[in-house]
Amino acid sequence: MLSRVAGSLFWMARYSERTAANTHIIHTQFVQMLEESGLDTTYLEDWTVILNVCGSSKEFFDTYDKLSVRNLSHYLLYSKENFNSLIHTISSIRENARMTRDIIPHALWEEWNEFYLSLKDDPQSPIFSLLEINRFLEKINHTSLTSTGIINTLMSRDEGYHFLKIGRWIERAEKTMIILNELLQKKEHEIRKCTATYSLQLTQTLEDFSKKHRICNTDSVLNYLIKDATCTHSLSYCIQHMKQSISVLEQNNNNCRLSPLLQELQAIQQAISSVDIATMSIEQQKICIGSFLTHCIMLGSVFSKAYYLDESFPTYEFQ
Amino acid sequence: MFRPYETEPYFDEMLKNNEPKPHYKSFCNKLMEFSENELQQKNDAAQSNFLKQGITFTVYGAEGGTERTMPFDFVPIIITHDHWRTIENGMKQRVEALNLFLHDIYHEQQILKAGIIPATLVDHNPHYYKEVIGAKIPLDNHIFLAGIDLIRDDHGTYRVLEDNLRNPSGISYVYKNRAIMKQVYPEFFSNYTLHTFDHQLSTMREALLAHRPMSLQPTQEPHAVLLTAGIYNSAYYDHVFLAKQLNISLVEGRDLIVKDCFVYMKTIRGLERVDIIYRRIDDDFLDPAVFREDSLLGVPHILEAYKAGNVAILNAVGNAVADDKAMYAYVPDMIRFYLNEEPIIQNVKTYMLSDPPQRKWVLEHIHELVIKNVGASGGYDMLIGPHASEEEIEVFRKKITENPNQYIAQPTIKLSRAPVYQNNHFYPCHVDLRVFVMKGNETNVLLGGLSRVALKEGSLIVNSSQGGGAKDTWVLKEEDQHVK
Repeated sequence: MLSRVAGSLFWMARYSERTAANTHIIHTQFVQMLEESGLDTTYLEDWTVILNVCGSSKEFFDTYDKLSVRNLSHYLLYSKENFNSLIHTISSIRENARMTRDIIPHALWEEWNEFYLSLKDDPQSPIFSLLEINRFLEKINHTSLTSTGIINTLMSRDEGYHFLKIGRWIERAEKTMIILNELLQKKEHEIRKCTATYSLQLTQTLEDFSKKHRICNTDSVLNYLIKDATCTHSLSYCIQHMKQSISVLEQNNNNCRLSPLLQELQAIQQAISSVDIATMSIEQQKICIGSFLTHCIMLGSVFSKAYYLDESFPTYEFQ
Repeated sequence: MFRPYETEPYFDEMLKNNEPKPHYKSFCNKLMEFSENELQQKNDAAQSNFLKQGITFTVYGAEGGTERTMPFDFVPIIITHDHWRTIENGMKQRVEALNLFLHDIYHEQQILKAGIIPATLVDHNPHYYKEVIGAKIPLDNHIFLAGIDLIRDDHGTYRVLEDNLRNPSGISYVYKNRAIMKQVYPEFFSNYTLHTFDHQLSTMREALLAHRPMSLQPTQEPHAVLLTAGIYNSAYYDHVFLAKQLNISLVEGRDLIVKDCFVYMKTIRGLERVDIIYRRIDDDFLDPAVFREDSLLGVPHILEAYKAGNVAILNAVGNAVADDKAMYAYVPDMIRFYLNEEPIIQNVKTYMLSDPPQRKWVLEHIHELVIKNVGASGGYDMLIGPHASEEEIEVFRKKITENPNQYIAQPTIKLSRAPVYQNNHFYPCHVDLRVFVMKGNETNVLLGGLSRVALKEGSLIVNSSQGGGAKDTWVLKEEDQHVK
């Protein structure tokens, strides 16, 4: 497969996962906001977390004069300056899908193309009423789920499928770590109070966690989101599935080109199995999550180099 | 609802003396069964289908987004079996002669030595590339895919309007028009037995893979790719469609690299050799080391690999010399010279403005004629005398006088018409037919082709970039089926 095409599939998957995750996070926060007074200090803190998870709070406060539904929804949903706004990520999905139309199922291209065109044609966008925002987010969620279904149902399990999957796992692992990292930046008494439930809500894992655990505190949740190999948003699950996909791609060939990638994956897995959250202070937990986040960010770049996805990396070898 | 209209002074594809022709009767009967509302709904469904599927072309510099769909009109052009046989034979003959011509002018130049074609027309042609003189190419074939534009005059006689031997686009529309027609208007197919083109792309794939470069070992399977200019190219959908159907990789210039005179593509596992490139970018952009150095679309040194016989490039480099509007006038002479036959399908009469007596006559009769720039396409730099203002005519008089070699003149043909349904009503519009000819070990003509229609009432310009649309083209399998 062409490196450029594999790169487009990889980024299409990352943008799809980012869109789905940010849509869920923004929706969760808008719903939560209904019960909070605009004067409450937690209101400001929560939004700072959300802005950093789905964009950058610095960029937001540099651009807008106050925290308002209008400003927040403009920045997170419609802003052309915010590369992680939903309009921006959707447009990037469609652009990458267009570059790989000869590889992906026709239905997948149609799904994103139709949705993109419906946004372009909508004379009312951007919209700022909570009801309309909610409808818009539901529409994105529906398209994301449909496209995931199309990939799982129609795509043959060849190279293209695995590049899509790996893009998704890397993005998801990184997002889970970003959420935990941001929540751990709160004041200690705030961390103890709400981090556990809130991090489960933002990672869409509250339902799964509640089925498996009776006690919900920061330690049990951190442990779950790092180590639980059955939770689809945990670091362990994403790394394990990424490794499986690479092993299918390589059919267990020992290729030295992949050594840095395999070493990185191995290092993360070892760190996951050796970490003992319960014995750590909050400061140690912050350092631990920060280190996992750095590994996840590194992983994307090491993976791109291993498969020549980065066009500025032209040291090609003959096959 | 559909009502017969006055057809004179034009030849009409569907009507004669206010009645549907025999091969359109069944279609017209069906048409009458639909209410206005039903037709409108079907029309909306068909148009939105094209957009949803992203079957679009790009218009450079267009306001409000660059992607547009080509309007589709559901009234098909129906071609009878006998007419199609004539077209098919005529196209094979023409492409055969054009290929021999291309081979000849890049090698022995017999046709120039015999004085059939003025040598200056070749030597001074900006598309005659001295860089590929004497180049040996697979099958000695310069034309893998040709798109020949046909029109019908006021007597219904088919004539060639233009040859496209560089990168003719539109095959995807032939297939998509039929698919939409079957999906949205299945009722119209009853009582017709049509030639299907479902299996014709495998013929095209065979023709493509027949172009094995000389250096490829006989035991090795050739590795072919389609070279596109990328997602912003006006024909990108055509490229995606063909790459998918031909089962070859869709590559951009940046995906290819030349090393030691061989071409490789950059894959996730390293460099992989490429043997056949079906390129959809023009010669000028192909190799920045030889042609336009500012080209970001091409591959440096690809021409070296081509001349060394290490890669086949389709269509061949330098074809444009044979398809400009001045050379067009000599195609009948090429047929006589190389094949010793008379042309089966005639040209439109063409006046060469480089010839002083012809130029004088044209300038006197410019109000009645069509003037075309020999190097332009897409309906640009063209004057349609009967529709032009005095100012426009003066501009072209000046252009012709200053640069007579750059222009040709043709009589204003009364292009045939067919009904179209747009904006809730039927009206007649001018049509033409692009026929696709594929050539590998054998020459094959894609059954049907792309019927293009000038949707603006009275307009003669069918090009999609200037408001043209497309119709499905039906070729009847049996000559007498419509009599039943």
